[in-house]
Amino acid sequence: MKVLEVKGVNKYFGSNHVLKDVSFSMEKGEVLAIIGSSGGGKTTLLRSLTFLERIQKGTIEIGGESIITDIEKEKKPSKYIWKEIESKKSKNNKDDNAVELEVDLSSTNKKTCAICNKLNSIKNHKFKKLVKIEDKEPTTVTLSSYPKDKELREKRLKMGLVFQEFNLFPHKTVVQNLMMAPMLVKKSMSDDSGINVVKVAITEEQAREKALEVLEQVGLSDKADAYPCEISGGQKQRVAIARALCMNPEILCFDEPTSALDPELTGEVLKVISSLKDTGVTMLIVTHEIMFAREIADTVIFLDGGRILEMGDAKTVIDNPTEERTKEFMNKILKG
Amino acid sequence: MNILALVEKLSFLEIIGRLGEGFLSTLAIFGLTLVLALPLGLLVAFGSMSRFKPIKWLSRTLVWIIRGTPLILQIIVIFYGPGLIGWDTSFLSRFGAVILAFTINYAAYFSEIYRGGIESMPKGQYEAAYLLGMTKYQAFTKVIIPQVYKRILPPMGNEIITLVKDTSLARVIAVGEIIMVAEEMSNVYALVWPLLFTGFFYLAFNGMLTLLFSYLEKRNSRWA
Repeated sequence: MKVLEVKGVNKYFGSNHVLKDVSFSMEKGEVLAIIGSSGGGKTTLLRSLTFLERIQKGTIEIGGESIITDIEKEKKPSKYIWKEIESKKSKNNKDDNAVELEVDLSSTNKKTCAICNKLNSIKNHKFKKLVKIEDKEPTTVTLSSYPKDKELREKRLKMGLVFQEFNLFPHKTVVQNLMMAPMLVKKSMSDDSGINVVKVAITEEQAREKALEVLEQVGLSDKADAYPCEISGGQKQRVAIARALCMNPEILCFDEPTSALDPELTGEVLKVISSLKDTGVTMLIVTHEIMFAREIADTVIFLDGGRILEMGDAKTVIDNPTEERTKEFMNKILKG
Repeated sequence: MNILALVEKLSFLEIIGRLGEGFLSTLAIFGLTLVLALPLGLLVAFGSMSRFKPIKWLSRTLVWIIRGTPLILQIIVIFYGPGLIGWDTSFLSRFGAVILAFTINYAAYFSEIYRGGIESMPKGQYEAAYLLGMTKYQAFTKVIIPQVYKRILPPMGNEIITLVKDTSLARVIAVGEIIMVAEEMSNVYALVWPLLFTGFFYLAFNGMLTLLFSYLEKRNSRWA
């Protein structure tokens, strides 16, 4: 059963094309690792899947439910001509100051960015103000709306995320960190009769029971009443994992879970992640730990320059990469 | 002489009693201002952080004007200003004008403390809360506010202690707080020491506030 299906996802930061037609899917219980050099779009991809970033184009389906579909449907390239506003000083040879710019809107998401880039590329331009004087081919931009906050929040419940920087709530004890969201967030479930669906948050006792159970799972039962500032980095990350697990996500995502830890502490976190695999948790892991990815992941995606360069069985991709760029990357990493 | 006769009639306890009465009025200005300015400041802070430009511009201009001019001037303007341009402000008593001026002034200062605290919160705290399914309101009230509270306690304590002393400006429009009472005594009875004695009232009260704030800070000292 497919739990995640990503099709043609595109993401821009201004005119910077960060994700280029990323497509992949995940089966239930699968562990997928995303590797690649920094700036390759790994974290952005994860943040897009958890709706912390908005994608500009593409489809995301979680649990068979389409969540975002082709936001930006079509953009025809069009031509704009921009001209300097007549200023008092340049009364003569006005036409010399006119500049024609052709802006291809199919390659960028925002026309203003495209125009800025064009302008920057013209050296020594002295434009103080520009007006659009002609729009030869009007753009046909059809935007289907991005889901509203409330809708996104419900969809988001299917995803759990473990951050690089843990992001525990410092003012709550470990067990309170785990109990907080389950007690606040109403989830749909069938009522006592089993017919009607009601939205309820669980009670404090239920939340505590679940929290202690999950803490046991990550081996931190003795730290239940400690504050996050009183435990080590590795323990913090294990609490963060436990906190995400308390919401029973369909997919648990990790954003470089060991990058903020010193090597001594990474082991305990990786061990917890491995143990989760054994219990059948579907996991999407962005990581720099190649050997860990090789060991734990079923599938590995090598993301470079916002594109999926290679995807396949973890051991195959890591041991025998086919693409030049992947080989280069593996060599660098493995030889240190 | 008449005056000397009066002086003989004022005992130490009587003077302390009158100063105490004056200080009650000081406390009234202090308490009312605090109760009104604390929530108003939060509103102004939200205004300053608003994504809606006109509101943001309005709030920041208000803060600029209020922080950029002396409080004593603001009290005078609020009390005399409307009358000068022909408005009927008979409903606004002297005391009312003082409370209005103090509330606006302190709301502006508090708003900047709130804003500093809220803006100092890392984005990751919001993101962690959202990822766990919390609404924006839940994330703000359960995750952000408790942490902001701890961060702004020290500057708030500072500002609140300043407020205690600023109440003495009320006498500019003849609202009888402790300094004014003492000044009257020195004018009428030629006694200077009651004026100096007002310092003990301020010291004692601010001492209590200091203790209160260190208690509040200590309550949250276990987590960082």
